[in-house]
Amino acid sequence: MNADAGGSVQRATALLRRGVLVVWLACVAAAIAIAARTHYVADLSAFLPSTPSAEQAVLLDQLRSGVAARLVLIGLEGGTPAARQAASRQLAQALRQGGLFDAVHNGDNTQFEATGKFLFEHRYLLSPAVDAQRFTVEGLKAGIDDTTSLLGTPAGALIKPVILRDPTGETIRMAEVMLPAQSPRMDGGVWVSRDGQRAVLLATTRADGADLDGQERALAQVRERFGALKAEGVTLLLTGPASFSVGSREKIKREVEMLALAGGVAIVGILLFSFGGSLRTLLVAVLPVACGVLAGVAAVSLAFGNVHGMTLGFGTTLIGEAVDYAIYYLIQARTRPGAPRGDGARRWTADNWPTVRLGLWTSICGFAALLFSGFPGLAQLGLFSVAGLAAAALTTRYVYTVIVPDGAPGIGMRRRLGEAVGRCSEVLPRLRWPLAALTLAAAAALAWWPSAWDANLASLNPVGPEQIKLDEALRQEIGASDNGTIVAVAAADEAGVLAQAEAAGQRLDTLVASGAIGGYESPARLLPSPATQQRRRDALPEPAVLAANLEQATADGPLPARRLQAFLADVQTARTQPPLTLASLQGTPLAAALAAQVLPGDAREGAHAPGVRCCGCSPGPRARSTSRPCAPHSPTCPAPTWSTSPTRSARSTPVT
Amino acid sequence: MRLPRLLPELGLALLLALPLQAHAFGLPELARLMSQVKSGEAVFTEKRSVAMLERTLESSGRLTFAAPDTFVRETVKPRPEKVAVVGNQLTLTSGNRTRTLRLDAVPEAAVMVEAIRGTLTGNRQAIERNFVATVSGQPQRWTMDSCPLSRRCASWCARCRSPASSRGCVK
Repeated sequence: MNADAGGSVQRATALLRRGVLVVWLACVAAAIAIAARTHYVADLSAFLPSTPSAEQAVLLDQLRSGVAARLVLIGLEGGTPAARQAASRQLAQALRQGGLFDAVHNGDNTQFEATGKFLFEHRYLLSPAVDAQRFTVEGLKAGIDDTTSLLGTPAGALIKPVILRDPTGETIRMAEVMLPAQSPRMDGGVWVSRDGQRAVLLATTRADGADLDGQERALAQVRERFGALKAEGVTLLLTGPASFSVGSREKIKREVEMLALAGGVAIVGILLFSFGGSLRTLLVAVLPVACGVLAGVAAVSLAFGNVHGMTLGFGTTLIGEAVDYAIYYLIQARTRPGAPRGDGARRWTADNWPTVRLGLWTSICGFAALLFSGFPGLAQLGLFSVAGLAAAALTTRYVYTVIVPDGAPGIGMRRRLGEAVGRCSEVLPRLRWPLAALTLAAAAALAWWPSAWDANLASLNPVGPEQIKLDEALRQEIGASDNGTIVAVAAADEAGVLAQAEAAGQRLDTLVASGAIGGYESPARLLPSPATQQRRRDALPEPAVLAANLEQATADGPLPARRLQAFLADVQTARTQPPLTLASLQGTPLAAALAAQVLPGDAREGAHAPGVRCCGCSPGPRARSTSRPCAPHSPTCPAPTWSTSPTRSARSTPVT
Repeated sequence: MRLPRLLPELGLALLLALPLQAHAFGLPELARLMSQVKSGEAVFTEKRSVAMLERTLESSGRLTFAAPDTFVRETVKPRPEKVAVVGNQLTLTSGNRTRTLRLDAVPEAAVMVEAIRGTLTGNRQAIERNFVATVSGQPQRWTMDSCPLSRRCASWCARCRSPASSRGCVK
């Protein structure tokens, strides 16, 4: 009876053990399957807030896809000026055809001829000077006087060919608004640095700022196309956010690989050393960590849909303590002489598991706090650690007791290690006074030396100081200065957004006039709102009225009305032109410039869906280096405004 | 950017204040003469004939110069306008509109400004960098003919003559 009962218990236990193993193997297989299908991401956006405020949303948006994050600054150095200019033209041409860049600017405006024609044809919708007053007798007279006074000057050379069609000079007025004030120096038809020693180019990648693979491809294309030029003695300089982020990723990857390799070698070495070189024991010893990593990856993948590279890196470090579980078990569960098989496991479960379990609970409590973080990256890290540690502990508790019920055999190098430690313990007391003196000296140094506390975030930046210096130099030469402030406005549709941008621009104009800011970029400067265009169109008078006014206005002027018939015809054509929209600009360089400033979004979501972002202010001349926000509390500055010091952004590029 | 035409009047005005000297007179001497003048002010009247216009354009105003690099041309009639060059900064004001440009971003304008500033400050290198200059006459009545070196500038300004001729830049 007793023997029967004992046999059943044994059979049941054996069955249970096999059951545990089967369940464990199934879990491992499932985790491997999930991990294999997991999407691993590397962009830093997971470590940015997941529920940002309206201000943060605009900033994040800029970081991910804003034009500032897509800039590539290119410098060509060395060789003769002519060689640099030729290289600049050829490289720009090659990159424009390469398809990886939205826009490539090098000062060479010859390819904008078609755009110039397009703008000229729509000048009465686009010129800021067009209003009801413009086509009265006085308005026409003033406009014609303005324009004719430019004849015989360098500016006059540009308007001479069109003055009979555009006597009031709307072309000039459009150009004044659209051209940036901070143009680079021109030499031989291309941009050069202020000292003339470098040709400079500015390109925006088609790939998002967050798409590092795309950015890397774009940079590779620049290098490859430049290599193909064979420009004598000219060298290529590359900088900008794209080059920074790709370079940083390379560096981080290299260092992580190196450190991981070093760490792995050290751990394997120590384990081999401690367990007497037994490979089997080594494999068993790393089992909980391996299971932990697998479980962590699977849990994060199921909960978040992807696993961040940084989660994997930091998470593995955090659950590294699971190596201890294996070491405790393998040593503490070693069987005593004469004990039956499985005695070690039973003893360990009774004596040591409660301690390990307590450690597990406290660790889980600590890491669980991360689960509630507003940063998805940190939440991933929390989940990874909790799942990983739990899996490692459960593997130790339920799998080890089955597969290595009596711990690790042999004593390995532990005796020698013990002896070495013993010898050290004998020597250490003699070092008491020198060590005390050293401690005192360290305390004194801490008290007297300047604080070593470094609060500068930039010191975490893996980009080297030479790279940053080069970036600043090229930025200054190109006039792509750092923006102090981004002003964002949102509206339900494109028309509303452009109208809002216009309203914001009017308030910013007063700041420019007072010298508080140096200038700003706004999409409304390139494309006025439909309402404004409509107003301008309505201001164009009927043929008879315009002809009569023109006759009067030119009565004793230098340009007689009879020569301005083309002007009358153009105004009448403009009266039937439909207002321009973003869609009608497709295919022109204006579309790219506008896409950098106008973002389609879902305005219904409220604050976190800007229908547009616009208007980067640049600090005024007096505030250039301080990058201060444009008077955030001033009633004349449109809300919301905030300083964007953590980002480097640049003004959008000229379009002529 | 109508700067070339300012030369004759300003040069003449400055010259009246200079002591008489009598030796062989060339660009080096003229440069030395001009470099002694640190600032000046003059009124000007400008007449311009443009082929496509039916009558001559007339304007008048004031010119101001202060060594080493400030040059302002303020038109009073027929409409208030102002062209100010300070260092590398070119500011154009017309009515209530003001526009600022970097001078070296507009090479054509830079050439003209260099020529005027170069003459006024007696900076021979600045003149010779962009022009072939021929000086003739005497210190009290000299003439400088400057022909632009760059073909692009020559396309709209064939020659500047100062100060004997009042026609200035001719095309």
